[in-house]
Amino acid sequence: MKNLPDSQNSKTESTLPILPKDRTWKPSDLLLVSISNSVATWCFLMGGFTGYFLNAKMGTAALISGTMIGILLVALALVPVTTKYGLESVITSKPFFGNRGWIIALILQYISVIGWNSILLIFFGKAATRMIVEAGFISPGSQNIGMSVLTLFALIFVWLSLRKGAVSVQIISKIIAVIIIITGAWMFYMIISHFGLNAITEAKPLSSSGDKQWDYVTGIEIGLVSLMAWWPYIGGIVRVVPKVSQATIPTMLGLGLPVGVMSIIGLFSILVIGDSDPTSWITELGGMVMGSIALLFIALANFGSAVIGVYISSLGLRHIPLLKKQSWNKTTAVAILPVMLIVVFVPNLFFDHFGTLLALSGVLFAPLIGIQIVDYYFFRHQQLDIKELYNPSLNSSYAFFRGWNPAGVLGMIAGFVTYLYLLDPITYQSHAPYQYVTATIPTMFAGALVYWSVTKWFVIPKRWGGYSRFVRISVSKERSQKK
Amino acid sequence: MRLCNYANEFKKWKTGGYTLTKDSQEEDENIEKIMHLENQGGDLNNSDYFWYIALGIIFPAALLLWGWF
Repeated sequence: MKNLPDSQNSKTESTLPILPKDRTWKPSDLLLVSISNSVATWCFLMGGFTGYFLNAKMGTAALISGTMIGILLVALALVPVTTKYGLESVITSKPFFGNRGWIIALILQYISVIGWNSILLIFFGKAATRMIVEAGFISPGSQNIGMSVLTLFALIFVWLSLRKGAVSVQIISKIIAVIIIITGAWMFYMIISHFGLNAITEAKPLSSSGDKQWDYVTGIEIGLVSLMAWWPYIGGIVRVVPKVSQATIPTMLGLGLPVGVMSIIGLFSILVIGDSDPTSWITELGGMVMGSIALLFIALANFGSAVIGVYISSLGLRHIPLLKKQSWNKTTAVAILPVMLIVVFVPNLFFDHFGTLLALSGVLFAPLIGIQIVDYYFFRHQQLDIKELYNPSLNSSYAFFRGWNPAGVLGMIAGFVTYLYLLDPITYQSHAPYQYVTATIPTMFAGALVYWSVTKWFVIPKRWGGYSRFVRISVSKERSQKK
Repeated sequence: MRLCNYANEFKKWKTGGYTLTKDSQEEDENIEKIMHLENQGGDLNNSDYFWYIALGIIFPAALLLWGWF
């Protein structure tokens, strides 16, 4: 073991459960890491997207409430199981997907993190390029090349930053979280002092549908669906605190609330300026010096989130046998490679389809979250068999049928179909009752209901999945409590 | 030779046929430890449920009412 690089010896970069002695983060550490992770330019994009449908007041309410409901759902699915056993997100899917079927969760995680990291680093490149153009180091005509070069540098720096694993995440995040709070407050101040609160509250949305109900629910949906994409991230972050109860408030206030609050900057800016991207207006409003500093801070915010995203993605990839015995540095390189290809060759594709990326988060993760809540609380009574979780053989309790749980697969399909019926992620055309209930929440319920039904009436009678063990344990617990 | 090693690893993963190695022993010890209650992080308590309901349901509901009217 002494010949291996430090990070491979580190318990927090391992796919194994983290023991209490290695869980060294305090709730304040988790809060700062969560803020650093959650606040990035995606917030401005979310707010800008909402500004197409809603004015300032309704948009503010919809975004913040959507993000808080969203984080509640994701937190209920993941925080208890990951902090109880010290697990990261992907492996927690084995009890409901099977010990081969968990590959679904890994693929979803990988795709989602690639998408969001690409957005982040493209914005990082834009912010940094804008800075050096304003400073006169390159001409406006060289912006595209400048952006590609700077983004590549950022990727290399992300890779280098992660050599120390969770320690890097903790240190970088603390600094960036403070910077984010200061920059966010300053941007709010700039917009409000420049345009006035009246102008902001009276500004009309850019492209309202004409149906107030539909617009409002769409704003909530934007907040909700963005938080679904936290599923891959949460496990790897919260498992480093020792107790479940120490993760509750930092998760809600660190991963949920800041997203909604910072999105309002994008909302306000698109309503009064016509552009949600702060890199395009910050120097005009704030002046060259302050604007450049703010650009730097925005770039750092994206960088911080990208570091955490690659860290999480790397943790998930280490479940793959081919990568399990590779060095941590090689694993992070594999996580970064697709992002590099996207940001260099097709950056505009992601920009132009941000709304679709958002909706895909709901399509992919909403049913998974519903399934996990049903499985962990109602069937497993908040207990997992860790030995079986790490048993890769087809004799494991979590093997179900040849490693696949049909209930999990059917639940995902049901959720997928439900979402596509309710809301087309590309055209945003909808069907009733979307305008009353969003698309994400029914999708979650559809996946959960199908999973519950198939598990109760097909999987458990076949004695798949190790459920009978937890029925016996919960019955004996009830009996001992009655005594 | 290296491709051959990867193919063998994949086969082992598919069939679950791992042999006992030093890494496996360490994994088993780690897993054995986490199965003890004192090494786990506990379950949700009443305070957690309170905060989840307050921040995840009551607060958003109040905000939505404010935004609508």
